[in-house]
Amino acid sequence: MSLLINQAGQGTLLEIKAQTDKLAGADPVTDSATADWQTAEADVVSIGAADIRNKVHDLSLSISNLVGTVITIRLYKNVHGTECKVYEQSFDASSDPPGLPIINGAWATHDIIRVTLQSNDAADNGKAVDFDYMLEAM
Amino acid sequence: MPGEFYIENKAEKASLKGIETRLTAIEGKLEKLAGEAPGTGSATGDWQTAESDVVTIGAHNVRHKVHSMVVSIHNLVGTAVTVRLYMLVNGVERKVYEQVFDASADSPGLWIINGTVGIHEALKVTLQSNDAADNGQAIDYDYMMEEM
Repeated sequence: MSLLINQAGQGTLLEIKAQTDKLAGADPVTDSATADWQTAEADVVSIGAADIRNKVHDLSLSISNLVGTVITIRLYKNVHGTECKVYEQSFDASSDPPGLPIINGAWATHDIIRVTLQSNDAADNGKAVDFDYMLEAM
Repeated sequence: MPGEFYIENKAEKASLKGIETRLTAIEGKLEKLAGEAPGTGSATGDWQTAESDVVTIGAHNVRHKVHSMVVSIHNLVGTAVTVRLYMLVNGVERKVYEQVFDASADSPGLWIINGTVGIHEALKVTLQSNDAADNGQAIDYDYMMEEM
């Protein structure tokens, strides 16, 4: 059986498919970053992109390789063209869970969210910090 | 002929107009999932003199999901910067959120709404500072909404 749908109808179908395909979310990103975390605050990962609307459904970090008692996670984001810190929380690698659910709801962004980490222990320099996040393009 | 299709084996014609109308309706609904254009701007007020409006988002009888609201106080110096949200509840405007921040210690970007909240009324954001040096300073904001 063949359906002869006019061009406008086909365009509509393609628009519907494009929008519904987004609901599956982008491929999850899981990786690790290595830096001298005690020497200076350093980037873990930057997620999203300028002028692209995304929902961030999850961002988890793993500090399982670290030993610092003050591990500080910060998020930075552009607000009206100026990057500013929008989140800061400190954790203790010796007592807090090794997996940190930094974004554990859905948060929309239309720009880059930069994730950084800093430790108070020189033994954490050169250690890997794992991360995992999920995005859905709007 | 546009709007009609031919079923080969049954040799009969049927109109697709109803299907196309429904597809257009579905497309309209789905396009809302892309969200509205992000709102980003700044507001200037005499924040210490009196509580003042930063921005009002949404509208009466229009359903929205608010996915993000960030207010930047990087230009302020007050140690008690109060952000409040107001919304109509059963026809009467009520304060629905209030939190005090310290511009000298807290993050300059305040993540006021960082989940998803549904609204069908206007949501007004205000700010007040305890430091006269903040009068006349600009407050930046950034929000994202999705019409339902």
